[in-house]
Amino acid sequence: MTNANQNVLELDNIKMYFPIKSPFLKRTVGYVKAVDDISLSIRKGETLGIVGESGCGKSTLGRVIMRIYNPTSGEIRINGEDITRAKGQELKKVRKQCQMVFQDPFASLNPTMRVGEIVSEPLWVNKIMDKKGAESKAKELFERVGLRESDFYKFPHEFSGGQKQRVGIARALALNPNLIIADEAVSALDVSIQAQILNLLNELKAEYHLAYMFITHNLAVVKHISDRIGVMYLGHLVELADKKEIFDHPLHPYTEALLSAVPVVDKRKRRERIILSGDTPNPAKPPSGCPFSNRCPKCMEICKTAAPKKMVLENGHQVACHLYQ
Amino acid sequence: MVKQFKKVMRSPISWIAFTLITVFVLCAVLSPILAPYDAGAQNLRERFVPPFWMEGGSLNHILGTDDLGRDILSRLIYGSRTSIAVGFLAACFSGGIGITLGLLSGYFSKLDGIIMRIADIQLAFPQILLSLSIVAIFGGGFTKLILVLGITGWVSYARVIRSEVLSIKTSDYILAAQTEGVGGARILLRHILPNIIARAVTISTFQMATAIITESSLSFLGLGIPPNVPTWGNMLQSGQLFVDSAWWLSFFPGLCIMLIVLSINLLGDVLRDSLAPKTS
Ligand SMILES: Nc1ncnc2c1ncn2[C@@H]1O[C@H](COP(=O)(O)OP(=O)(O)OP(=O)(O)O)[C@@H](O)[C@H]1O
Ligand SMILES: [Mg+2]
Repeated sequence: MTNANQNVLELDNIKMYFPIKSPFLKRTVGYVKAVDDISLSIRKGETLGIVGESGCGKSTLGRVIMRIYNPTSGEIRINGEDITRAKGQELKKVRKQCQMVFQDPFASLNPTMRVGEIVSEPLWVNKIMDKKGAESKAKELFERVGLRESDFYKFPHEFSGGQKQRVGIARALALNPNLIIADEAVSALDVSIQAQILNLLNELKAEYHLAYMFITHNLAVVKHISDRIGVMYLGHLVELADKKEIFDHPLHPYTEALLSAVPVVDKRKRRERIILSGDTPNPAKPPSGCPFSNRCPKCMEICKTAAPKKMVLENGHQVACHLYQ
Repeated sequence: MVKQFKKVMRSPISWIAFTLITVFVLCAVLSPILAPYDAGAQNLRERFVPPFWMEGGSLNHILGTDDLGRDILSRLIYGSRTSIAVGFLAACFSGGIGITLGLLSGYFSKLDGIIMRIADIQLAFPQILLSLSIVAIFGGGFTKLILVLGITGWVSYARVIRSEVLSIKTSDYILAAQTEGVGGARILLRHILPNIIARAVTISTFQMATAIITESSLSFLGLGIPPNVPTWGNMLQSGQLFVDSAWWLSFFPGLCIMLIVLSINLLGDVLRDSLAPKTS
């Protein structure tokens, strides 16, 4: 690929199928197709927002990139290096380039460890510096994310949700990664705190030359922070384009429905609310053809039988929908 | 810590349990000072003296004497040493084995199958029966008894610890540590162990109580501690011959066993409620 050195992350046809086991004999009776054939890339210093409703496989995608799960098939490249099958020391090395901020600030900090230890640990465990050096580097990070040095020896339960998330961000920054995957990093916080954390992430982005993959179900958040936006539905990436393109010219009917649910102040831009009928299908039994076909207001005959292919328009706008084939 | 302790002590039950345990432990540590007589001192002219409040009893022997004229109270005080030492050491030993195997079994799915099958097989035999058979084959005595109780008691730790580890190891904070490159050993010892230590302490109290009962039962059957050593089980055993005519020989050791087991179990309940790691 010509622009390989421009991309921090490249995903080729990533699939993550979780086997469903029968209760007694533990035989595989089917698969939850949590991520189904997703390809995308993130450029250096770019923020890619991933949106979609609960259960569409956003977290699974993030965890596959972090190699918490091993993908069923496909290829993951970080800075051009294939890490899909990396193991042991090699995996440790690539993981330094890609870190994660978790959704739940309560669950992502060990209640029995002081936050200072949590943040400095990655530095000396990876032999980047000794314990003393790690501690002073961690104190710097504390200051940078807006915590006090006196917070260093506190336990997680002594902090508010927003402060905990700052600790989580400091931890992710410690290894000086190129890419941070933020999985619903602000969803558990109050709206005012959300804005503070989003601003912090935006500041850090320039300072540390970071790229973000920002996973959320909240379109307002994604609008605030992203350069490009990918829309997921039932394990598929149905649309991917620049933020402005997505908000001004959404192509996929699912994206249109998502956008119509966002309150808009400007009267001229206000759209008619599209209410989707039916529930999200079970990812173990997706509809044949297009995954969105059973709820799509513009469903055609072909949608029920054939899966749409990914189309790329001249301006880089990608969509998988029969309306445009 | 102090604040928590005060809160716990507000409930009368835990207060009683805690006091009883303190008394027993003091008896064990200070037996030579507290006991009015030597535990083995026989006095054949004063056999079967009843407790002081009964006819024929005297304040010289508050809880009476046994068939050889030995002072019951003194023997009970010395007996607390054996019970507490056996209970404590057995719980530590089985805890050491059980926690280690539980951690390994929960974290490394390759070891899980083997360790848990062994645990299942061992669970098919009640602990007392297993201990009885081993002691019957290899003989009793203090050290062997502790080893046997340790080996037969690890399963109750291992199973609980394993299931705790299974749920903790998929939590976000462990995933975070893994993605930062923290190694398996450090994750187990520094990240997971402190989160389960409270559970382990709780189990160890119940395990201590079980060990005390098992020791007493084995001694009662003549298979535990040698009969010349004053233990509650041995006293119960020698007293049962005279239970019609001199009930106090067996009643008091039985009461002691019951009280210590009950208070340890109560303390275990209290610990379980108060030691859980804080999450918010
Ligand atoms: N470890 C797993 N084993 C089996 N199935 C899983 C596993 N993790 C996720 N799934 C399934 O994969 C699907 C996608 O889950 P995922 O957590 O990625 O969704 P999500 O988009 O992050 O949702 P949310 O917004 O609720 O966080 C769900 O149907 C879920 O049940
Ligand atoms: Mg999720």
